Amino acid sequence: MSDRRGRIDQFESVFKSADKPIFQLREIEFARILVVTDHSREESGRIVEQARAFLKLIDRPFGNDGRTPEWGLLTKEDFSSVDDCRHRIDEHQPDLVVAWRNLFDPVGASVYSLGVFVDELTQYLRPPVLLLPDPKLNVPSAEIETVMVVTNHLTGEDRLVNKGVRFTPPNGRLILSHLEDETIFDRYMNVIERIPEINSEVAREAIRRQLLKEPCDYISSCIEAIQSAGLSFEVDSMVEFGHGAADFKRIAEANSVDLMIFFTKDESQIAMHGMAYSLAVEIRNISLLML
Amino acid sequence: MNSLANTLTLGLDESLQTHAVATVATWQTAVLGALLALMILALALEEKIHARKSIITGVFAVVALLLGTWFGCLPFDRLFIHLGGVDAHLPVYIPAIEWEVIAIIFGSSIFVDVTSQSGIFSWIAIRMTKLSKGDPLFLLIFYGLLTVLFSAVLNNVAAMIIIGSLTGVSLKRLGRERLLLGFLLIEGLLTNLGGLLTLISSVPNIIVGNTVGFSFVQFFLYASPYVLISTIVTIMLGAFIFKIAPLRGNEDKSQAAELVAGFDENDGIESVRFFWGSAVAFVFFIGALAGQSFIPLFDELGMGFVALLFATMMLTVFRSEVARFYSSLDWDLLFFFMGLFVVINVMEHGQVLHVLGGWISALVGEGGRMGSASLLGASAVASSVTDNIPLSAMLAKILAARSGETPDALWWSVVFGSNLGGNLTPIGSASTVVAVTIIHKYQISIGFMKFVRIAFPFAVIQIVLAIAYVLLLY
Repeated sequence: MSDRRGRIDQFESVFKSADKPIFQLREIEFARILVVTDHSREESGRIVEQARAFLKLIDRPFGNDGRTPEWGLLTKEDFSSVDDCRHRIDEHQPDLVVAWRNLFDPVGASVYSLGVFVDELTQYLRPPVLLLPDPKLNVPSAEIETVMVVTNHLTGEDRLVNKGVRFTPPNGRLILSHLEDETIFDRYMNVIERIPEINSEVAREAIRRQLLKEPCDYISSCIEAIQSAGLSFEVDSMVEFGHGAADFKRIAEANSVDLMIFFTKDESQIAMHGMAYSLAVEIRNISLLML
Repeated sequence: MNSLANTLTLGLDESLQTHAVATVATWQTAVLGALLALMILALALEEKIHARKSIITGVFAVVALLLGTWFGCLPFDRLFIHLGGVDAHLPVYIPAIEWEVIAIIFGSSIFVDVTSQSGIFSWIAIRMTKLSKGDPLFLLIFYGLLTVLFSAVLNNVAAMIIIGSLTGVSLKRLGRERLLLGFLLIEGLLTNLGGLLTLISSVPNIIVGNTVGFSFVQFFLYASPYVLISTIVTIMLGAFIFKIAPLRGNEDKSQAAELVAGFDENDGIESVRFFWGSAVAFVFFIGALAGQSFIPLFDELGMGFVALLFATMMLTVFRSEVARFYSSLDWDLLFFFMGLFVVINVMEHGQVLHVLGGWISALVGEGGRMGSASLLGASAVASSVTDNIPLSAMLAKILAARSGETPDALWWSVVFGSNLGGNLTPIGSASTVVAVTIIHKYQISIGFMKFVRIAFPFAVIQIVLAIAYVLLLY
């Protein structure tokens, strides 16, 4: 009987492994873009222009009627508190919010946080928040060339990849990255090594292989869909074991990434989830699109 | 070769091959009969007593041999081999075993096991899933046909495991878990129909076919029309009872198609060479079995040799992985057969089969229409509560020992009855046990009586169709 259960389980594993999420390419347009800055209205002109230049790819006519995105601006004169800021943003109903790290941060460019405004905005707002580097660092690229989608669970995340596709220019480069946390893996393997019924070596190899196979399969379906749609940018896959934010930072810097895209919201908590926060805090000179 | 034949010859007393002639007291026959009944009961309660089939028949074989020897009904003095001019005794339990049957099961099990590890059966099953575009009715039809086909070329249990596992995964993917019970039950019932399709599809077929001397093609030509009709009826009835309807709206259709499109049939294929090699070998295997009675040498060496030949070829090709294939072989089944054949042989010498044969003769008379119908029905009922292998092995011995020629209708009644009876109860066949195991895996409650209540109309229709079919052709 246990043999039969074992064989049922074996075939179920075969079929579950064969059941792969397929990437569905979706058109994404940003009809309303809202820039939020802590500068005065007069001072904001230059940085708004910088942002528009950076977002040239999405700042173009769309839809059947050829509408162009509507740009809005909230400056320090428009709100006085976080709560006030949230209400004002809600009134605009934006599809994308553009802001800077350490927005309205009284201590200036804090090294260990994003500042209370950005923390609140990224978690409260439904639309994605594009966080540009501190203008004083004078680092934003003039235009986006290389986009990197960042996650430790890429498989089936169409929303994330579609955003990456939307921000990657023709002849640009889209990096789909998936980093399996080596520390967590080692912790589980330490437990498995203490269970006599499980062959540790077989388990280590099989689990490792399967963990990397799933995102690789999904990326293959992304590449297929992107090529079928006639999009002309390059798509690269970076699937490996690593140690969270530090390795993502290394990959991003090694590939001269202009924009990193990742999820920040976690359904089970109101605060930004761990890896997203580390990334957002540590990567200061690359623009971040936070979903 | 000739010199070897001159020096190594096997001599068996005629009585061992046909009927026992030793005088056996009635009480001794009764004791052996009781032992046989106990073994059948133990096999029926296999799961309850936590003993493997091979252990059960092994224990009973040992006890039967001891009793048979004590009662003096075993033909020790008539078993010898001439080996280089020296007479050597052959152990009494060696010729008791039907080695041709063992060869067929051993050879085809290894061959099928090696080929199935190429991923070919999963590939076919996933292709059919995608072809259905996720439509529940098409899925039921395709899975139903595949169950029959896989049961015919693999074995019922393997077919149920493959199709049942895929059913669970695909229906879950489609968000149609409520259909799981219907799908799995229908597939379970179809495995026993598929088991009727060819001579090697189930053990009763092998035993009866080997006893009568049916060729692979003869068997297929006779059984296939019934299997086709009964499969269609079972699927249609299943769709009606379990309300498995086709998708109507375009949106539902495209959504379902999108969901099953994610299945990658190539995922389980580790080696393309192995995959295609297995596919080609399988075609040749079926071809060789079909042509065995016409192909020179094969016609003399028999079907068991063909199975062993293909097993040897596959093991030679994949010689580095032989240990893996040996370890996955169903040794329990093989030792079960050996023990069973020994028990039946002792029963034959102990006149138990002679007594049972008298009862069967009373049931079937001269083998007319009523006789065939009664035998088919009785075999079905008997195999619904106990293993159909000892049943068919005993009936084959009893029918073969009948005076005069046994009508073909009786042989087919044994084949149909012992295969289809498994559909009457959840313990009637190994494949329905697997179906129930998968059903339980998905937390669907199905007890003995619920299974009988649902499966009864299907099983009765299949058995009635089989009786009508046998009577129509004979």
